Amino acid sequence: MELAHALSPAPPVLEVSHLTVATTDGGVTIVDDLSLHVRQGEMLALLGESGCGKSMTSLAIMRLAGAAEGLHVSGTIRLSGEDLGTMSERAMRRVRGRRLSMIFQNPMSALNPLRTVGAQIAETLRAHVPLSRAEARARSVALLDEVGITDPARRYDAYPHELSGGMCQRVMIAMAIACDPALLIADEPTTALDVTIQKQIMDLLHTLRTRRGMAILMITHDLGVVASYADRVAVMYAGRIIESGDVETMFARPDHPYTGGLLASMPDLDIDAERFYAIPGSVPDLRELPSGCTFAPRCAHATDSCRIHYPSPSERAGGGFVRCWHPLQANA
Amino acid sequence: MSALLRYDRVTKAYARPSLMPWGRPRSTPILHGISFALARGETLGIVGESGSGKSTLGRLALRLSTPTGGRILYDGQDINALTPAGLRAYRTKMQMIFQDPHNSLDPSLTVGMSIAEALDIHRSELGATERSERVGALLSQVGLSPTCATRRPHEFSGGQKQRIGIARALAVEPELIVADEAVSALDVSVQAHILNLMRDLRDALGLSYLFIAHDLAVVRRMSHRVAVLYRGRIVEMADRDDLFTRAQHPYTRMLLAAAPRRGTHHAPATEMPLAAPGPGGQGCPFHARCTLRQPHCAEVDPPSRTIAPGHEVACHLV
Repeated sequence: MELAHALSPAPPVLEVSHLTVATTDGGVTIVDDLSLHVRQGEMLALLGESGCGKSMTSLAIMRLAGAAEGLHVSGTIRLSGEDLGTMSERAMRRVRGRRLSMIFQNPMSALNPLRTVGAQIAETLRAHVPLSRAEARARSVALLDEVGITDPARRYDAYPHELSGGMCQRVMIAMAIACDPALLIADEPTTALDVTIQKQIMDLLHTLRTRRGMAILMITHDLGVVASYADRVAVMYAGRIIESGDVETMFARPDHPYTGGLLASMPDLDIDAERFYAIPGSVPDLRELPSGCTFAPRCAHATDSCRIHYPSPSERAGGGFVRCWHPLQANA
Repeated sequence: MSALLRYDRVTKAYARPSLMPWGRPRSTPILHGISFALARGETLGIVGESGSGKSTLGRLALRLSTPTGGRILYDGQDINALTPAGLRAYRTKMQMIFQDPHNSLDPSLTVGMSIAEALDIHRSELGATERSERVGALLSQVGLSPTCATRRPHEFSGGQKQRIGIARALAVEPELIVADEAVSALDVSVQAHILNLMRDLRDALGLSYLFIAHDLAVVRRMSHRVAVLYRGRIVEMADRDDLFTRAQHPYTRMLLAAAPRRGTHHAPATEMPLAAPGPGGQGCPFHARCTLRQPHCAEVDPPSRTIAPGHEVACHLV
C-alpha cells in the first residue's frame, strides 16, 4: 500500500512506520502498528473519536511519549528521511519548534499569561536562530502580520488575556511557523473556537501550507474540517488506522462501516432529517478489546470470521487502504 | 399553543468596577430587548458565538440571574416576583443540562446518590424504596442499566455521564429544560445518541427545550424555531425551515456560510471580516463586520420587524 510513494523522488516530510505505543506494563496498547506519511504541502487528517489514540500518535511523533510517561514506543518515525528515534534528546530539542512544531486545542492555556505575545514569539525565534533582539522583534512583527493580526506592531506588546481565543490561536500559529518547520502538527486547533473563527483559522492554515509548502498533520474529530480542508484522511478506531485515502473519494464512498457510520452521524446543515443516525453501541475499552475486528460488535455486516480474525489491509479503489473483511463498496 | 415561557424586552447588564477606586461602576450590557415566547412542547434553538449572551439568556430562565430590565413570564407569572415558596415550586418545573458532563456530576457521590439528591429536595415525601425504584426507572429512561446507580462518575464515558446528567434533570419531572451546549463536548457518534435521546424524551414527556448551541446543523435538527443572537440581541428569529432556507440577516447568512459541510472541499477562502472590536456603541451591533453596511447602520439601531409570519429580522437592509 505504501509502494507508490517509494517510487516518487522526494521522501515524504513525515513517515511513520509500525508505530506502537503501549503502557510499560503491557496492559494497554494505545496505538497499534500505525503507519502513515505526509508529503510536502499536504494536509493529512488523522480522524477519530476521543480515546482512539490520535493525540498519542502526535505525542509519539514529537517524542513526548516515552518511558518517563510510563509508555513503551516502538516503530520508526522519519522526518525528511531522518530517523527521530535514534536522535539524542539534545538533537531532538533542536528539531522541535524548528523543523517540527505543534499547535494545540486551547491557545489560551498554551501561552504564558505573564509575558507579551510578541516576546514569546521572539523567544522561540532566538532559541533556534541567532538573532539580535531588534531582529527578533522585527521578524515577530512580520509573523504576526502573516497570520492576519491587524496592527501587528502594537499587538506585539499585548498580553494573552488582551486577545480573543481566535487571536491567541493566530499567535500560536505564528510561533509554530516562526522557524519555517517542514511539518506542523495541529491537534484539534479549532475545537475551542466559534464557527466563524474556526473557518478563519482553517483558512489561515490552508494559506500557510500553500504559500510555504508546509506539511500539516491535522488531528481532529471534526468531519466538517476534514471534508473542507484535508487532502487525505486516516480514520482511527481503537488505536489503529482502519481506513485511509483521499478525502473526496473516501467521504463519497467510504469502505469501512465505521467511516460510513461517522459520516452518517455527522449533523449536516443541508440534510433535513428528523433523527440523527447513531452507530449502535460505544467505543470499546482498550483494556478489554474484543477479539478479531474491534469494530465487529457494533457492525451490522459482521460475520463470525470478523469476530475471530483482525482484518488485514486491502487496497481501496482510488488509493489508500481499508481494514475490513466486508468493505461497503464491495457490497454495494 | 399557549406560551410556557415568555421573555418580554429582557435586558441584562453586569456592573463592572471602575478602574479608579472612587469611580462609579460601569455597566456592561449583555442582553438587549430580548423578546420571544416558547410554547409547551416546543424547542427554541438559540444560536450565537461566544460572548453573544446565549448562556446568560438561559441562566435568566433558571433564575440563576435576574434581568436588569423587562420581564420573564412562566405560565403567565413573573418569575422574578415569586414568593420563596413559589420559587421552590418553579424550580421543579425547569432543569438544566450542562455542557461538560465530566464536571457537572459530584465525583464523590455514586450516580444513584446524585440523582436521589434532586428527589430528596423536590420529592421529600418518597420513602427509601420508592426513591431507589425511581432512580432505577430514571436510569432506564435514559438508556442506562439501573445497576449503574451504585457506581461513581469516573467509571463512565462522556456520553454516559451526559445521560446521567439528563436523568438527574428529569428526576423532578420538569416541564422546561435549558440545554446549554449539551452535546458540544461529545464526539460525533455519541452526540447522535444523546440528541436522539433528548428528542425521544421531548416527545414522550412533552418537554420544552431552550436549546442553546453554536452548532447550526445540530440546532436545525433539534429545534422548531431558531433565534440568532449577536452581541446580546436577537438579530433574526424564524421557524426552523424558514431560517435555514430563507435567512435574511447578513450575520445569519455569514454563519450559515461558515458552517462546515460534508460535501464541500477546499472551500474558497471567502473574505470574512474580523470579530467586532470592543463592546458595542450605537447603531446595528453587526455593522462593523457587515459587508453590506450603509452609513446609517453605524448610527441607528435597526428595530426588529416581522417580514413573514413568525419571521423577525433586525436589519435596515431587509
